Amino acid sequence: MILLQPDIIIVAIGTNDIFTRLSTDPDSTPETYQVTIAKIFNKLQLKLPDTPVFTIGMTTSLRKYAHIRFGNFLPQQDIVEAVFNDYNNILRKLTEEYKFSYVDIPSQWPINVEESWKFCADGIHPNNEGYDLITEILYDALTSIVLYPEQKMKQ
Amino acid sequence: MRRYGSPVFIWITIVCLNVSFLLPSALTAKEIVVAIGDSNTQADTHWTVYGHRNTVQGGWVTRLENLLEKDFPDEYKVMNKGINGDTAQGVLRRAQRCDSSTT
Repeated sequence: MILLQPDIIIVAIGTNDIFTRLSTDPDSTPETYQVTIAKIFNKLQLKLPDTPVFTIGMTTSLRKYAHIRFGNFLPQQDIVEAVFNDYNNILRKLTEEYKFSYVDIPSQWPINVEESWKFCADGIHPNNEGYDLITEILYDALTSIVLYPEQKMKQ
Repeated sequence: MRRYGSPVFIWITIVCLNVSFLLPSALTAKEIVVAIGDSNTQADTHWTVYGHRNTVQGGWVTRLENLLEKDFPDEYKVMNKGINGDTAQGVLRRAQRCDSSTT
């Protein structure tokens, strides 16, 4: 990603870190996630100091439906939600510390499992409606922070 | 009249035509947006359970590129760097690989 010399970077990572955590892998903890994300951010800040970076918060997986395709590896829904909240808070906090922009998808995503399912393809990945919603929220963030000022200058 | 058929004239004409084709792309270099992540970013499959489906290859990345193209024609290129199953460690390794190959 650094070699590409991007003008904008969007980082959306952590769902699989959460899954390994939920699978009780002792090496995968919120602390290791925090340290790793900080290393990524350090590198981006060092190598691409003028490039705006956006991070995308993760949407909670749905145990009730994920097991149909992925097997019954997720614990109870309230535990899943709590772990997603922990990791999203880490991502948000670090994003703010590094003066990047956190795109708060989770706060605009339905909390209710059945409502959330309308935006989900398989309990983990979004469907068309889910991707539409993510894109809409992300585009609003991009527009207000990096796209709109440029558009304004051209007018 | 003869000089228009000369090899030199033909060569110059070909070079000018080639340059005229190259110039627009050179003058309108697109801004690059890199999206890095896991399967939610890569979105290369049409996951489905009970008919809930993603039918757009590339998920939010493709949709973002379409929106940018609509509002800012020819200004942005969005690159999908999502890898199924990737973790924060994987992203860090990718960043470090890029780093070591530049030094």
